[in-house]
Amino acid sequence: MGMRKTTPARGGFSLVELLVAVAILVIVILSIAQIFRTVGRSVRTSNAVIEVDANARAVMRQIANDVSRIDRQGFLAIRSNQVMSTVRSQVSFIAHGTHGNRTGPLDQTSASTAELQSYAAHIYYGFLINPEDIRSNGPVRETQLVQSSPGRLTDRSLGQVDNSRQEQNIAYLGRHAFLLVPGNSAANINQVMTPSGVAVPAHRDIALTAGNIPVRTGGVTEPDAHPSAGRTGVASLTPSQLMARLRLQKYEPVRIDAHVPVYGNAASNSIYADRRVGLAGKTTGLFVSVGSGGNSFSSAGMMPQYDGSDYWCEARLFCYPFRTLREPREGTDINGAPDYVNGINRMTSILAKYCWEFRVDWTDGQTDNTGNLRWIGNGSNFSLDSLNNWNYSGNGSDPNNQPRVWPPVDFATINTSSENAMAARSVLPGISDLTPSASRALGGAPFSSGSTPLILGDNYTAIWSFDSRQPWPKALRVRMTLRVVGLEMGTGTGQFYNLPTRTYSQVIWLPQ
Amino acid sequence: MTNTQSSRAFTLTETIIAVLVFGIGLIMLATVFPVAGNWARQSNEETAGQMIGQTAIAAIQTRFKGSDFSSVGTTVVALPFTTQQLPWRTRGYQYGSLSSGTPWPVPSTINVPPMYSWVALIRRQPGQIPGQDNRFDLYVLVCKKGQLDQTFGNDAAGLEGRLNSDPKNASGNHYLPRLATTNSFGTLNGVRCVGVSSGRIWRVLPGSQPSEDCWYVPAPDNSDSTASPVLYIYQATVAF
Repeated sequence: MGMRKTTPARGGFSLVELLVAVAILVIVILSIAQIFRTVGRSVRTSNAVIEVDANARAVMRQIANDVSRIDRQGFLAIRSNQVMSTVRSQVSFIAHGTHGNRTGPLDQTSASTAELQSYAAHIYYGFLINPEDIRSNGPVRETQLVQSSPGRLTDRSLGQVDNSRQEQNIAYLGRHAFLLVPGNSAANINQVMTPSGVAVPAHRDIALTAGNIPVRTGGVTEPDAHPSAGRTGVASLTPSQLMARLRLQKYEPVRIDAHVPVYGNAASNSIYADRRVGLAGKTTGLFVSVGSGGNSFSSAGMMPQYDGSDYWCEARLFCYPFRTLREPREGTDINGAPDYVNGINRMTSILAKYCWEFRVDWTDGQTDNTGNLRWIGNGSNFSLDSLNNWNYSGNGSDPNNQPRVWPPVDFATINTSSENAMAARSVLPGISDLTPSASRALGGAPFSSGSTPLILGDNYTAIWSFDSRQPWPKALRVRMTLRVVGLEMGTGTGQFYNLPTRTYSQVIWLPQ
Repeated sequence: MTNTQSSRAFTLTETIIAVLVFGIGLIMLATVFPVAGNWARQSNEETAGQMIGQTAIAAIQTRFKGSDFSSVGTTVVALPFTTQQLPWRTRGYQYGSLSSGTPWPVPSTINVPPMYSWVALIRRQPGQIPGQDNRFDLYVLVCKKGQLDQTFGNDAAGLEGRLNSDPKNASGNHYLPRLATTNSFGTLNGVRCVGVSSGRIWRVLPGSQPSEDCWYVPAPDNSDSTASPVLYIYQATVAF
């Protein structure tokens, strides 16, 4: 009797067991994946928060450093725009001290690597538009301001237009340093002499009213001009000499025509600003001033193309209130040197990405009824009425009954404005150049529709200057809101998650 | 006759090992969670500390003049006239977003329970030429309440969020700086403080206590006495 050898069969898994096991495994894997996703998101958000924190600290430190060197022989201008519901202030002033050139050679066409230092600079803080905005349906490296509805320009940087490219459209907070150097090179009219006697390329964005001198930049002839043209001379000035010279010139108006062609597209009701020949040629930002009141475009008013003529409205809007140098003029000082100063435009372009709001208030050091400092500015307890008076609505009444004209508001637009109204509200002596002029594009042609100025929505511009003799602020309060932006993992089209905004505020004392 | 042998089950040892391995993995995974949060919190606190500290210096510069400090010598003292010149709301800060999600700047301009505040110390900088220099060392002790429900901003009537008087804790003690003598550090472990004589910033640790009297800020109410609210000590030298 043969024994049948049987191999003990291993108990296999049944189909049900397999299905259950697979289901459990899938659930576990999905749970773990969710954990990783959550952790990854948390880490990315935290990293973004840390980054904007660091950015905010650096920006505040930079502003405080600049403000600590403010020179009261110059001026301080605080401008307030309102774009959508956000306040976008600009602040500009003359700061003494040593200002270095940190952005390399001054001219792309020049081999000069001269290290430039200046003893005074015109400092600007305000918004930039991301020049690297690459639109899917427009020219590369241009920034588009789109008219979304009658009466309002939509700043795409706010992400209102194309959310899928939000990360490319966030406005950047920037710093602009216009280094002031004393004179021109005797050997080359396109160069200026640094205080240390080194010849460096002159700033090429200051128009010379005596006649434009075409210069070549990258093979393209542009109507650039140099204030130094035809003048030679000053080798070096001490800081005190420089500031004395600046003071003598009283910061009277100079037309700074930054060569940023702004042209329109009548069909799409849009404006393009080309940065390729932008400020200082190689800067990475374009200054724009986008208003919120009374803006409307007519197709007929749009510029069909850029022809190199007087169309640089955007840049002028920025530049005009913040005049630094008077027009170059003939003449010599007691030593026979040309008595003018010169400037070189240098920029630390982007200070903070994803900056949503930037507002600057000021205080005269007075307190309200509760003993707290009164802050004046857009959105503070002080507000401008239609008569251009500052009304106080803080705790109690204005205990000191201060003159309501303080601070000196250069011009203001409340609801709608006109250039005439702005000029009429000018309280600054010695700045007669605010006289309305049809040929000047400050809210006028070609961005105009009848008497309504366009691309202009300033709430106010307050200016303190050496000449105005107005009491200067005791301190500034700088507030900025940064938005933490991050891309969701695995999505290439820009799906955003969790966009917290963080507001930073710091009081900066002004040297008295 | 078919003898089907049942498959062998996991032994207890195998199961325990598997659970251990799985547990270790989970623990390692779990440790990742708080790291990012801690980084963000540290960054947040450092940012708040620096900005509030710098703001405090600016506020002091704005509200004081050199003659206000004529009585200040080279030993560290509490900033004189603090409550008169710098009322509580000027020193109360809401940082970040309110519960509504609306970002709110510092300092507080509405009556909300502030998250941060500061107090200041001052001394005349040693080594100055008498009658010529007027430089002062300022120490800003930036404070943060530990929990949202702490009444960091109580006024004298105990009404939370009323910012019109200097904050007190539940015991009625102001959050103004307080002096600790060398024999009273025993209950202040972990507290950061400023030396009265040297101006040195100390941290009270077991076995390593300051060798001089120090200024510190008392703990929030109903909390561990060692839980100092001092988040950051900002130091600057200012000429008045």
